Amino acid sequence: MKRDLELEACLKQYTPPDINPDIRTYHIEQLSEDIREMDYLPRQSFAGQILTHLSYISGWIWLVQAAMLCLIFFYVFQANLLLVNMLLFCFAPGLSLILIYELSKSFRVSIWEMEASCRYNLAQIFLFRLCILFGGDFMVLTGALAAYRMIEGALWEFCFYALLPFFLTSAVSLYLLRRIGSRWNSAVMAGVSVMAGILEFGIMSLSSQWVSLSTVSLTKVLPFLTLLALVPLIYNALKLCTEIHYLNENRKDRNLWNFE
Amino acid sequence: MELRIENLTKQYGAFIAVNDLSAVLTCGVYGLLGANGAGKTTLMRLLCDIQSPTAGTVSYDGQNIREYGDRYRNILGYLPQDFGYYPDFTAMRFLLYMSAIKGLSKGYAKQRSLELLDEVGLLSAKDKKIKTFSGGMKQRLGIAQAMLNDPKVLILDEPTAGLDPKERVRFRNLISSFSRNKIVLLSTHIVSDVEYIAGDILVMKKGNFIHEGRPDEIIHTVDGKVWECRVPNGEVPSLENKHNIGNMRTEGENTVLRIISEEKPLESALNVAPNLEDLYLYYFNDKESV
Repeated sequence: MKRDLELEACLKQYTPPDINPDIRTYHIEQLSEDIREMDYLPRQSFAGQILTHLSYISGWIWLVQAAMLCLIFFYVFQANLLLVNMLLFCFAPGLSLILIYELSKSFRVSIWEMEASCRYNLAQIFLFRLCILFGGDFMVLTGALAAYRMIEGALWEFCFYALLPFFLTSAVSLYLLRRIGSRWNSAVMAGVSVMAGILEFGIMSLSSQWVSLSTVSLTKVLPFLTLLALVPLIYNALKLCTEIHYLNENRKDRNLWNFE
Repeated sequence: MELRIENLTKQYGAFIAVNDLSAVLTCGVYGLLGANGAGKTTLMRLLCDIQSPTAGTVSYDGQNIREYGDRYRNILGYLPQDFGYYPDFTAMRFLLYMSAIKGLSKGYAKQRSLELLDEVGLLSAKDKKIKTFSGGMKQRLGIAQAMLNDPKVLILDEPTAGLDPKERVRFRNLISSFSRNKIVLLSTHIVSDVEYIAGDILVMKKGNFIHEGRPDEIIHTVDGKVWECRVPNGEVPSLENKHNIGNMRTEGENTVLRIISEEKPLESALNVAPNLEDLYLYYFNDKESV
């Protein structure tokens, strides 16, 4: 501490030399010249963009996802299939909703106009964010599936308890988010949560019958068929929210995020 | 370099926000004057390719901006009326984020961000969270983000809102120094801002351009309609009800009134030279001003 004070006192005695104005001007000009010569608009690969956007995703998302996965593993190690099923059923829509919540943060903080006027416009930014956030969710779901298989849970059950609510909530939320617009963002989120809750409750009350019927092969196939039926809905929602479908189409016809 | 607006219309249901506008903007500073709801923000969003027009086109150097797409946005800087930000971002992180979505290289973004933070007087606050900033500081940061990509077309929606007089002077100087070889369009309610820096003014009312020209040319449209008179304080309320009062100054028992009126309001009234504020009040003072 004493040494620090001595050092500080010593530094205070130091008088910086006068800056030669010519040298200062020269360096400023040189810096400006360097900036002018820089290729400031380089082409960046899709992966490069994803990596760039990764650092701007809120950190709490990863914590929530990790916590969900840990909880699933905790119950898996207790070999409690019923609890794991319930947990998946509760978490899957939640997993989707945090994705939508983070995705739509541009509207919550009213930055969307600025983002929309940039080189990578709002639709492209949403695409980058979707890829990153879905990547996280995919890892959680894959981890949950691996855990589920450890306690010999059937694949169809996993589809029924985890994938179906996840994709259904995602598709409906994306669709509503795009269709209803920025001002109703909170209302959309609340509505989707309530809807997911009601759906969950309804299906959970029927789940005992489902399990007893699980020997019927059609019952096992049904979740897969439903997932398949969801594909166009998910595709349309993605198409609305991102510019995926413009990659090979005429840009003149594109829809903007204009919330009319 | 020109930004051409041709028969631009934007309709929300039955409401026409922008009505068949046509104009050509070349290098220079343009001021967009209009009351709330006149269609300024909608026009600016259309010029930024954020909204799609119901009819008409906006073209940059002969090419429709909707077809130009990201190449147009590469040369565009925009500050919206509601400047939003991620509250946990610091000023520097915010500019780096904006640079990333503007597609700027990392090295350039860092240098340019520091340069602009210095220009807008926020260099010492670069590591502070934006949520701790005052309104003026946030606005300056907004102006800095609009300039990150050294835009050729700069569109600023109410950029001086929330700035104190000193900051406004600094902003005006910044825009003036920046506007060389660029198209700058700024909308504001603060008439003196456009009066000082705009080479041309577009006056907008109910979705239409009602006047377009240099400030001195436009001011001439209210020649002979601005009056000054000295009246006893007691007569002021009745005159306020009858006429459009631009300014009033109390001098003891009397009040000096600046009245905008087609006809001489009082025998003692003297015709005076109008300014841009008078013009604004002349066109936007009535109840259906938008």
